[in-house]
Amino acid sequence: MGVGRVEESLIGPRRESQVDRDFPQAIAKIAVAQICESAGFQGFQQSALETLSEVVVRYIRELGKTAHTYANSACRTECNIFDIIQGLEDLASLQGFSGASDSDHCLAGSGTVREIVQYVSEAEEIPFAHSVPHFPVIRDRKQTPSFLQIGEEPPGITFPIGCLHFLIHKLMFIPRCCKARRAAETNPFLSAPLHFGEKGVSPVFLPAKLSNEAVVENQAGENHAVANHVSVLETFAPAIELMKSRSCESEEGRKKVLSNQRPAVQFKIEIGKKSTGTALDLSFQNKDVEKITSWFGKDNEKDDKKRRAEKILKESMKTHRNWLSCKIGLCP
Amino acid sequence: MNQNQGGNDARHDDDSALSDFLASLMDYTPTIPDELVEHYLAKSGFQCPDVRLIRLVAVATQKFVAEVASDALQQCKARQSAVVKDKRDKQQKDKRLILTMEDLSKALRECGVNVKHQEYFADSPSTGMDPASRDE
Repeated sequence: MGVGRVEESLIGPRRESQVDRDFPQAIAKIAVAQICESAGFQGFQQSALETLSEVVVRYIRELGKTAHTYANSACRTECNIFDIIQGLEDLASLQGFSGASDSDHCLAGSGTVREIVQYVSEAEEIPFAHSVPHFPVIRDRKQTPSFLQIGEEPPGITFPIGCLHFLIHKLMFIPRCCKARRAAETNPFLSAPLHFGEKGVSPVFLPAKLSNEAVVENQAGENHAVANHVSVLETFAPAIELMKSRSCESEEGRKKVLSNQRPAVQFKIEIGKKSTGTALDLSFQNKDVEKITSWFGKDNEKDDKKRRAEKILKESMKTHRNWLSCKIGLCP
Repeated sequence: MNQNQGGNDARHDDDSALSDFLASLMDYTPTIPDELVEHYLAKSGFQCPDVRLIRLVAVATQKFVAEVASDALQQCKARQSAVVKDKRDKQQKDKRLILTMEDLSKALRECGVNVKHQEYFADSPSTGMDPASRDE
């Protein structure tokens, strides 16, 4: 690895792929080696040769860029000889050339051009050692033929009926029922304001001891439910805690201490065989919508709290994307 | 009036000299192949269908490389002549002129290209340190 390449890799991510750079880089190395050989060198250090070829490539690119800039400044897209001469003058400005100090000299008679003319007349002609093909080579991509082109029928795609049912219901019910709720969830400005005397409390994460008071019921006895018993509890612990603390607040006024006697919370866990990984259940949408709205209609005071509890519940459900779908029943 | 005419003549001379030179470039084959130059110029956004301009860029680059190489060669020869004061046998051996990073970096510095070369590479951060300080 030459010094030039090491520098390049340290600078930053490569924009050109390695394959694009290898071939022209190799050709540049050969050309540079030939020129150095004609100058009198008999051998090269690998790193030195690579560095010099890298510098040569940058010289060409810099010359092209400068010439292009001058062409653009003159409202042209194609470069002409004078753009190149101006680029040459820019690059040679460090070393200097005859007539560099003249501000209004004609470009055709520029010192750089004269030096090049002199070089061409003096130096011997060294043709490149190999024949170079035109590159980059653009290959025609052979695309896979479509079914129409082959004249075949595409294989039939079968959906399980339950999956289809789920998709239909999901499309029908989500816009109707959950739009408003979703708007409230996503946009904090649309959530209900706190009443006088209330304080927004951040969810509290219970230690394992306290969360054991919740009762877990399993429907449709599958082994998965038993295995995930504790994890589900932990998931809903913040929601449970919030609801408990809210009920305490409303009953006992300003007390924020957790009481040991709390209403039992019943969990019903169902495992549904779904092909998609969403946590929402069909039955949740169908049957329990009326139940939930009836609860919400009960107490006007506890309306906001329960809505907030539901929101937190939904958030924790979303973050825990597994194959369970849950029905939540509250026993006050 | 005479000066203006003289000036015009000079300009015409320059223009004709330039066009003659460009025509002669088609006979001269630069060492750097046209395809390579075209490729890198295209990457910079340089658009020109004229082959003579590609040749001009190729020749200019070749001249640049030749200058750098000759500077490096002078550095190499100067270094060799300075060293060879000890034995005459060594002079026979060191006749091979090799392009090294040292000479190249000195030659490129004149063109405004700074190439820094590592003096040496160590195996680990503590290589070459005193054993006492290494233990700490």
